[in-house]
Amino acid sequence: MNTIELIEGAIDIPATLAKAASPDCGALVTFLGTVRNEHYGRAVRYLEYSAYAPMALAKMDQIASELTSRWPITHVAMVHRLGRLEIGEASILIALSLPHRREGFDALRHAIDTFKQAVPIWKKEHFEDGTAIWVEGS
Amino acid sequence: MRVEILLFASLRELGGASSVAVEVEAGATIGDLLQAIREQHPNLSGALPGVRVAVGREFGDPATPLAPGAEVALIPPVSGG
Repeated sequence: MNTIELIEGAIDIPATLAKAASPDCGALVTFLGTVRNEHYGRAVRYLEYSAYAPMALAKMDQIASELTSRWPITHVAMVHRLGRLEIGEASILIALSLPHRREGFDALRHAIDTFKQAVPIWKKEHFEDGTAIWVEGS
Repeated sequence: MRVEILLFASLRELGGASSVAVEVEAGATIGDLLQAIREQHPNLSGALPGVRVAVGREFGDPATPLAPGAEVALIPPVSGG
């Protein structure tokens, strides 16, 4: 049973990792995406994420299914935060438990790369100068 | 038939609404839908390049038919993660 969630409020990283961990796995490979304080040289004040939630969850489920069919993954945790995020806060956590680390890194890279192409979530950057733009593509 | 189209992110701000409606012929495809948007909602047409269309919460291509009653959404280039 995977952990696929869109949430408002801070991602509970220890709790999510605990759900993803498995006693028969030697690796819990983890990607944490965080809010950066600049974009193309402009100072970012905060971010806002919004989603087409039902389709985003369906796409996240599809990615998890693909991951578990291609790699010997015991548990996929994929959690994205929505709403307002401050600099340094986590926007996404992907954690995969596998017997061994090597293929885990391949699976993790595939997971985040696919996520960034296929999941309908959008980021709005609010800059220090008071302007804001929707970021399109990543 | 009348199709209600969900809007998100930049398109939602541009359209000033969370959805817009268009009229298309029965049996219309995504390509027909995009043409109808350009004609019936010219304020959105400049933003359509790069936008994908989802039917029933799955990405389609210009030849994909609009199944009656299926949820239809315009998906600007995504930037999650």
